Amino acid sequence: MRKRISAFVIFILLSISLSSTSAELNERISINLDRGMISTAPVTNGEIVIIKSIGHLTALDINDGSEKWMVEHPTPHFFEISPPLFHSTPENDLLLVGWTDGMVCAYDATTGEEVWNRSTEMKGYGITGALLMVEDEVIVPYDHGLMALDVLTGSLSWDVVVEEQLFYRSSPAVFGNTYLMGSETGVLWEISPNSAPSQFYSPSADIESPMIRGPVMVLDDRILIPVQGSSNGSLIETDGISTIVHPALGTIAILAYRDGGVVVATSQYTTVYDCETWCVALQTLTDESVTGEVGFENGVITLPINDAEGRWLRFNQDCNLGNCTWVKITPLLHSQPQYLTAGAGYFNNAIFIANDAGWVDIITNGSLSSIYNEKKEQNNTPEGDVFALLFILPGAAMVAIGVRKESWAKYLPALGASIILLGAGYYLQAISELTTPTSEVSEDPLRELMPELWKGTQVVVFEFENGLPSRFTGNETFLGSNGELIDSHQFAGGGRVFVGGLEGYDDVRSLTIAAAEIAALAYQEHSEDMGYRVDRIGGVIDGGGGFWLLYWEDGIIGQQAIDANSIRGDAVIIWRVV
Amino acid sequence: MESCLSKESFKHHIHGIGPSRRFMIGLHPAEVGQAAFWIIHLVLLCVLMVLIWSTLRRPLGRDMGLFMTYGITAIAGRLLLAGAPNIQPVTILMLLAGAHIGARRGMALAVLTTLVSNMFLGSGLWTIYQASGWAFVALLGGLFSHRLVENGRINMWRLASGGLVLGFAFDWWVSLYIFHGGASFSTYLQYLVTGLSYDLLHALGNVTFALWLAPILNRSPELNLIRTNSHVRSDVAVV
Repeated sequence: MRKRISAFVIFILLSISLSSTSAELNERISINLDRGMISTAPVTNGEIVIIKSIGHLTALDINDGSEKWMVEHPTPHFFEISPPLFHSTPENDLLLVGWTDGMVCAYDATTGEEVWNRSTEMKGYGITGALLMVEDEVIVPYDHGLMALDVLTGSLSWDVVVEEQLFYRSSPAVFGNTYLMGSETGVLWEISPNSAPSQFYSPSADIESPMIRGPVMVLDDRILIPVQGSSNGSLIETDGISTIVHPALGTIAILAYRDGGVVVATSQYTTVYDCETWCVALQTLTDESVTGEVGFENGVITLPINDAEGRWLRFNQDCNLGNCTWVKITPLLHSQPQYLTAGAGYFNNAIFIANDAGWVDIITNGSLSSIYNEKKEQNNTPEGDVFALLFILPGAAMVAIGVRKESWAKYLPALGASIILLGAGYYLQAISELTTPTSEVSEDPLRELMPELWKGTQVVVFEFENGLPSRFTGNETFLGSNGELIDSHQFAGGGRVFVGGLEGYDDVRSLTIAAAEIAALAYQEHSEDMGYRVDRIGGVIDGGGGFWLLYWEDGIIGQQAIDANSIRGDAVIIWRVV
Repeated sequence: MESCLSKESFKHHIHGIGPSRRFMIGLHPAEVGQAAFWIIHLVLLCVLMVLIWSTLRRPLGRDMGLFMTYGITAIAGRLLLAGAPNIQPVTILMLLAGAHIGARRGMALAVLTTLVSNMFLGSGLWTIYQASGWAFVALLGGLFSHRLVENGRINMWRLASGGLVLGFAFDWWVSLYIFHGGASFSTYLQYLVTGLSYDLLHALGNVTFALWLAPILNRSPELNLIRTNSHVRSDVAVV
């Protein structure tokens, strides 16, 4: 009896100690809108984020993801691919939305109330292209024509019907005083309010069942036309005199352009072109299927991978001695993987991602992270306690009851131990944090070198003999949280880059990623069962030449995965090669 | 881009031994070249042959069946639980095998189990430490067979206690290989501390397996533990 009581007491004490440790905090809010497929990227006006799903518009608070309002607009189709568009007026922010039933509506962004609407005749898929603001008019591509509406009242300015043609996901591109829009027959139409539409480009007979399902791109004196075929397709580049045909097999995604670079993604492969002059293929990024909204902002290419485990692959440019390549950086993973075509919404304090499953994930950082973590801590600690007890108490009771029992009861200790083992596996992170010593004070000598204003903030140092871009080589460079250069002076040991003034990062991983982005250093990692490992920072490759990328946290060598434990609010993380 | 270390060997490292959380510094010395890889396996095969040869002086008889049963259970258990963090039945099975079929046969079984399971999970320098660690567990099983088996029945609580202690001891032994990478003793201690949670899982797993296996084995008249107990002690004397 005494043994049973002792065993029970030990396990109760164990349960209390485990329960007091909070469960793993996650920098992610996942919301099941349950309003059908989401096929367009979230958009924001800085206060709310709009998610468009089938027959619904949902406004989420940009800070905490809470729902501000929702609008229902029943439509006949099971997809909605025309992206919403914000327009600021002196009175309020308007949200302009085209629906697949052919109706275009303007909503008050603050309340969701409809300000005006206008119907177009639906011959095919209604409105599936992107709306375009030109001065005070919104240009609306509907499924067999183009119209312009006054943005404040919705009154019709002009309407051009292209007879016997259908448009799908085709958006108007401004071309001088006219608009270009491709049709389901592969013909590119030049549309002007003052004249009848004319054929600007007709596909050659080489392309089977040609279609233009996306906006064309106007580059100074040239036009890029994505023409997809049933078995082959092409990116047509023309200046009206000469034409170059670039192969583009499969379904072509929305083209993306930035600073002379064009990303051409298809269901078969994705290629980056240098289109400063006539386009030249630079690099194939992936052979995974990309059919939706490609992102190309702030030097990062974001590709929505349209397969069952849909995720957003991301690339940024890594330049070394004048040679630049696009390298894969941390992809965006969704908590509910599913096919997807929607682009990612990069906002100041979070990335919003949504997929065909109708779930929205908000990957937080900065202020949003701290708000959310506070909430999670408040909410989860009691739940975590109860959950831990669910493993420990029955397990301990079974062990105690089954001691020295015969018949079936002799298996009770085994059953009890199994439940406790399950609990220990579930709370592995918490146990690790209990058993891992953490430094109470920052002891890293590099602190002394840092600016005063970085006191109390998080800092990442990249200290490499080789592998830093030339701008950092031979220097000790101090960069602020917005990438501003604070100081730079000569340094004898290769190069040392300090990125400081960072706040709100919970682990080495998120902090390092943020710092690498600020310093424009390529960053690659991969996930293992026990957490993330860094494969590359800048030109330094983990394991290359028998050297390894290791990190020091507040002067102590890091021995865990980079996302395995939480870090202090004034942590100094140093990356070195050993 | 993958690191030079193969995923297989990384996974193996995680699940095959205890200190998986220590991988940030622990993995690097674990890598060996092609030549060293073959030398390690040749040495272990030689050890296996010597152990098996020395046990043949006494006819295997019914022990052959037990040898096979323990071996298959240990290998299959380790492979099937490869996804669980440092939870596997090999340690407790080697302890039982040592107590049951003799120290030398238990040690041979330990080497065999390590070699075969590492064929799937990945092999490296750690294979030597694992094989020797589990062989030592089997030796302890043989040495303390009279305590683990009383009146022909396995003492469940002693087996569980042994598993608890050996869970930590085995992991700490295997962690010694970081010295091949030039680690200092203080690094080793730090390394042990950071992996404690995984050692705890190994130990708790051993206890759980002991609590399941003892009542099941005690039900089996085929095991004839009284007979085994006597020849196990003579076997230990030879070792």
